[in-house]
Amino acid sequence: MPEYNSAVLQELLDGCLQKNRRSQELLYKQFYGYAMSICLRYTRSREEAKEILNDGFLKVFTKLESFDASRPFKTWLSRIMINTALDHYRQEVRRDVFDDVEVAEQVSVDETVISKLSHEELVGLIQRLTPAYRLVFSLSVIDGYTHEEIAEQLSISVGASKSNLSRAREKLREMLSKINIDDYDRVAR
Amino acid sequence: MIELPDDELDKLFRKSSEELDPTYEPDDWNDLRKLLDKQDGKTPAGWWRKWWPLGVLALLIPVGIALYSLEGEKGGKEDGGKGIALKGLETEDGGSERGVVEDGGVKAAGDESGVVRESGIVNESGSSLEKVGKPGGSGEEAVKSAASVDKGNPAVDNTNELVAKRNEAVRNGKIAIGDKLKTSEKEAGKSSSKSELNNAASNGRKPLPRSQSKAGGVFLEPNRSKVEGGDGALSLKNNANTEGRETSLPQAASRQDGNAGSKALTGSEGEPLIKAGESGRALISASALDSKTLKWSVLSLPGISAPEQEIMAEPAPRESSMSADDQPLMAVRFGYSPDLSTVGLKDFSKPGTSVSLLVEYSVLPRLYLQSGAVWSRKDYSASAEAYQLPKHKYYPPLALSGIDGVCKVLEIPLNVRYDIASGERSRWFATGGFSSYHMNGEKYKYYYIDPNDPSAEKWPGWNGKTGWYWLSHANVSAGYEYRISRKLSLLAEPSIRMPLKRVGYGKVNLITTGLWLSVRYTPVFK
Repeated sequence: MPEYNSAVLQELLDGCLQKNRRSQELLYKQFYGYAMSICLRYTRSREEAKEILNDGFLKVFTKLESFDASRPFKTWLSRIMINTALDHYRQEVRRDVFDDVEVAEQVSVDETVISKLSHEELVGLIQRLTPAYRLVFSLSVIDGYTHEEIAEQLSISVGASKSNLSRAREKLREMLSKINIDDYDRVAR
Repeated sequence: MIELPDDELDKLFRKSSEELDPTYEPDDWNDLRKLLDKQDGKTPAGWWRKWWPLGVLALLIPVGIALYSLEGEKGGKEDGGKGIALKGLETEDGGSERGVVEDGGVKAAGDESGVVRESGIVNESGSSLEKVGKPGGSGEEAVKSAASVDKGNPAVDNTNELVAKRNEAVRNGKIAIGDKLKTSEKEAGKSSSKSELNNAASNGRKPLPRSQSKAGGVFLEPNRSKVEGGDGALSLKNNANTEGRETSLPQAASRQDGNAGSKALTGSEGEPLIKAGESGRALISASALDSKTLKWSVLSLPGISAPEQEIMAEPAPRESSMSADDQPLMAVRFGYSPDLSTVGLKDFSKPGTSVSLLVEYSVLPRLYLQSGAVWSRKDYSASAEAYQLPKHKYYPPLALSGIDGVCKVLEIPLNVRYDIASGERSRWFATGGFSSYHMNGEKYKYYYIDPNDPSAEKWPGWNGKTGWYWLSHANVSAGYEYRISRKLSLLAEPSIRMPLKRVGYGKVNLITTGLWLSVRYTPVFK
């Protein structure tokens, strides 16, 4: 039986619908890792990711009645987290708080610190991309959005989306090249 | 640079993203919980944001009651003031045809003939008479102002008619007032009646009975001052301030009035009367009346005997029916309170409801025994450690993270109430005692550490009732009582019930707080 159909999850969701704090806490705990991993790759720091995570869960708890229980909860949750991250990005764009590309490009991996590559470190590389590159890369490569969807979500052209994805890959390659190749091999295995 | 194909690169990062499993940070949940509490109104700010209309209402109701009471008291006084003047007028109406002779701010010379109104009543007829009158007053000043008031004539526009009667009275000398007026005429001459009148007034000043409006044909009318947009009639405010001034009013004014009256009365003279009648309405300020008292002359006149009786009949100043010394012997109160139950003064869940019906019996001054029944629904949640679930053979130890409880409780309190401070309308009191709980209906919902725990399906919770828990809680409260009448009062009373023993199936130390809003009825006083 898929997880999203489990009685336990359903009970938790019922409790959340009744605004039961205990149910909410348990649901939060259960999906914390999954949701946080999504948030991390759309943000530049854990603190920012936590902000999006909590905003996302707040939406989950307040909009739970709109959830279709016949569909996987995880999918709905990931959609909410991604949308929350995009909202956050749009707000940041409006406030023009992002570093420009050139500044961001100067950021490099500290080779002395990195001794081995882990999932956290690889996601950390994504976080080091500029916001535009990071979002396009995450949406396209990890979350499976098409360029048309990305263009619509980010209010850019399809060409810009493709271009950003290409440049994001280049940046990641550059960053990886600065990391010890042995470590890379270990993680890639 | 690493020459990694796009698909390899994508695969590398996709794998890392999917397999990344950040460790749970309890602080993150705490932050979210604060947000949720704020949104659900479980913080004071959140509560206020959610329930501010109720809060505003709760504030406005006592303020409204207080204002209403204050206004009521003021209103009562004002009414009383009006009553004095008007009833006085009416009294003299009943006494004779002569009635009050007065004018605006000028004491009528005819004090001996009956009622003297010091001031406060502005008679337009006086004004009009003044216009037509000429200096050279005579003893006829006694009725100079003819402003008058006549019995049973509510319409003030009938001044000419009234004055005509005066005329007749003066001419014939058959009516009481006439006798004295004649005396006045003989004794006083032009303006001599003034001091006489003052003396008489000061000697024999008695308030008139209250409570009849339009008596004597005096008509209450709004301010007609030009300053205030009226048609120029004398300002009531001016007249309201003339108390004590009547004796020092310019003689000229008096003479003028007197002359006017004289002309009106003695001249026969229809024209002045008609003129007087044109504006013959009395303009009375309620506030002026309030500050003035009618005075009966010490001189008795035929037909003016009634006032003495009326004076006797004058109602005493209104006394409050309430007193701080009221000592209820027994009282019944019905109350409602939100029920905020918790384990350990934290993790407040949504408020339940409590209603109470209590009886209070006074055992000593200010000290009451209080008991009754309280029905409440208590919602609470706590970690599993806060509970002591019974251990059954068939139960494996349940790996619970928390338990939610919803209980319907009948509570029998036994309290002592002490009135700390008492005023005429308000009391501050404190209450302490013990309560026994009867757990009528208990619902517990278990939360398992592992949501996939097989026990979760078997034992999701417990429903039932466990009955009495005698003297299980200590009660403490303090409150404010506001008396809306002698027997009825409203109370606001924050309270807390502290556990003395564990209650319910889950054997939990249940703390309950709330704010009792009650109505108290006192049928019997000591």
